[in-house]
Amino acid sequence: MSELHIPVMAPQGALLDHAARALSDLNTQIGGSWFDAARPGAEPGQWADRSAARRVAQAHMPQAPALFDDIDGRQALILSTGENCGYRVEKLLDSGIWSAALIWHPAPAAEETRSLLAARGEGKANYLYLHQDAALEVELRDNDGTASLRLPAMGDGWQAVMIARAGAQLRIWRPADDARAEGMVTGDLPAMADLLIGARSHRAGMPKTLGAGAIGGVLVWPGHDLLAADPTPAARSLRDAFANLCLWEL
Amino acid sequence: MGNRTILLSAENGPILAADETGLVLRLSDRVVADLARRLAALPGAQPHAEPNSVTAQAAAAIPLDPAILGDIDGWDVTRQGDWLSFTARLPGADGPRRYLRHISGTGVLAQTPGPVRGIFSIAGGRRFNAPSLSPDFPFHILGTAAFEDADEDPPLFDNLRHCGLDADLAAALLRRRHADFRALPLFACAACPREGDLAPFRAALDRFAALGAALHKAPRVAAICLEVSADQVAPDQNADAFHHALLSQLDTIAQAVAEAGLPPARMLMTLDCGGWWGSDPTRARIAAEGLCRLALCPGTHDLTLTGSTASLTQDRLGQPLRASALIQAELESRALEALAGRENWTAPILCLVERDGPRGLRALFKSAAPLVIDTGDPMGAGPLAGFALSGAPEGIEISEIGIDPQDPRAIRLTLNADLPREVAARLEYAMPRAPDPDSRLPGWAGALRDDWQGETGTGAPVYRWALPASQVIR
Repeated sequence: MSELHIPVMAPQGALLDHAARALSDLNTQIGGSWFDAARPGAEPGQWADRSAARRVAQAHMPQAPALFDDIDGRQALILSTGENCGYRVEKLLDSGIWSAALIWHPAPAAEETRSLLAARGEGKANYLYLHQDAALEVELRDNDGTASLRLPAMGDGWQAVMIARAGAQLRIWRPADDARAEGMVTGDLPAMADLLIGARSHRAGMPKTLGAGAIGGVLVWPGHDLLAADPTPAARSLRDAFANLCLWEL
Repeated sequence: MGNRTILLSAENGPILAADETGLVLRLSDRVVADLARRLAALPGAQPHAEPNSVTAQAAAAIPLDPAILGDIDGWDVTRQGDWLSFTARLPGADGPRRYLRHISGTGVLAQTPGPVRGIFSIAGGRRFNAPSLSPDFPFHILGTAAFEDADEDPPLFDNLRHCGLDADLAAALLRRRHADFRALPLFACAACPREGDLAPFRAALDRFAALGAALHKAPRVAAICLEVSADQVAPDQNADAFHHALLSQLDTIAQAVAEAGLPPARMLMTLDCGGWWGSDPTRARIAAEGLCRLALCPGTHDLTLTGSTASLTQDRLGQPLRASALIQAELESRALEALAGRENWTAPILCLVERDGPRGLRALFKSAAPLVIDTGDPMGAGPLAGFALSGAPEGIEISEIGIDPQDPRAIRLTLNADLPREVAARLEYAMPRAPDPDSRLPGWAGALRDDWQGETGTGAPVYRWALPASQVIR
């Protein structure tokens, strides 16, 4: 027996996926991108942006097609230990001010989740990355180790954080328990960067930084510091919409 | 979307689903507002932070400058609702730990697990003696006695500057828990005078319940300690009437506890033997007999007799010495621990005196352990250990006493002559004698106890002395 269907158009607030729709609408207004694992697009080696900005994330290793699958009731990009299953949006972060949010599921108990997200410029320059360790603690840090923002572990199920950079200032926030941390990068950090999803490098190599796990989606807002201490009304409503998404969908 | 089953969809998407905890649907603002209004009005609704209190959350996350505590050795201060929470090294036996201070600026209390436990006493004057010193665990033992200033709201609690018997009792319980590395609960004490339809007791109960609510802790009455004295015997009242008067007093106390919204409380009772200058023997006899009846027929109450104040040395003004207060507190703390562990605990109580041949008597006791006649005789009871006959013909006396070899909870008494059957004589134990100003004891001397022994924190021995008694010989 299947669900009941009624031939009416329900107002958006009454729909069970209202949180995703509201976030999507706001995201479009502010010019953000949303790489949603539920809608990766049909093009092999590419991950389509579900928002109006229509940016494209390229698979790091297009010859090994990335795998999207259902994890615990949610579509996700599957990461495998030691393999670079990640994606890159080139030169997406073109200033020192941006925010991003990540929805992910840690690796099963026997394996380790490692790199989740990175903002990395050219060559050997210092860069930022978000990763999760064996104890499921979450850390946002720069590669030179001048800043380290940590959040305590919060279970082994679906979880989400928002991170923001404003110059040297870094912030991280987890809506589920309102955990937050902030810190300053004291070393050099280039303004221009690629966004890397599921890895810290878009090349093969650095296998020790590549763990297992699953990525449900990435939202990026270039040019906006959504976690600023004194947020704009638009930033405040985006934060609320993301917290609401976490409440309803994770 | 997690593991949800969609139950109902509109053209543009699902609107009703179910997960393992129940139905999933999104309510409108109007319904949420209605729920908020109705939830707050429900009986038993907990007052809590407003859902939108971003400021309160931010304050909880931001550590405060310890200078807010004043010039004390404290650190790691945060605000949690109406409380400042901090770590400090403060006076008392328990070293650095977490404390709370209410933002209204009243005193400090320790952060403790479990309910807040009340120790109340309802008594005459002697139990109110409270020397000027802080209890051993000054932030685990608070005061919630009736507040005397009618023009002001009472503070949530008092830090004690005078250490009465109730605080000593709480300190004795905490001292053993501390030594065993067990949890140290929070106690609130209140000594309530026996007057005015128990108004001071009711006020103390209300203050105690309010403290529990402010701490989000359940208030539980650990004990109500009662003193019964011969002065309470009304003129022309016999033992039977006194028994009923005591029962109705216990009923009133239990009702006051219920009216304060608290579960029924355990009661400990002690016979107050008065000052060292002596007591009226007639009323003493009626009080002792009435109290024995109450101990055997306590109605629906959870009542335990801890003995009498006969063994407690007094000062010139008839107040118990500090050492005596510690002995009494230790005894009561042992009683509470034993009762909490469902053990049998009582002072030996004379239930029945029967004839055992023409020249013999057997006195049967309700006792938790075998009886002992104390050879040290600290109260100076003499060779008959405090036993005496009254109402017997001239010349008939007790010549010898001893523990019944067949029953360790009975005493055999031998008389010097036959006691005629038709004589309605009484056997008395530890009834008051003429005052002895040198002993500073109330003069209700007896040497009978059971073989249980405890020790105060200062190393003084503690015994369960038999309750003074006066019983008709059957």
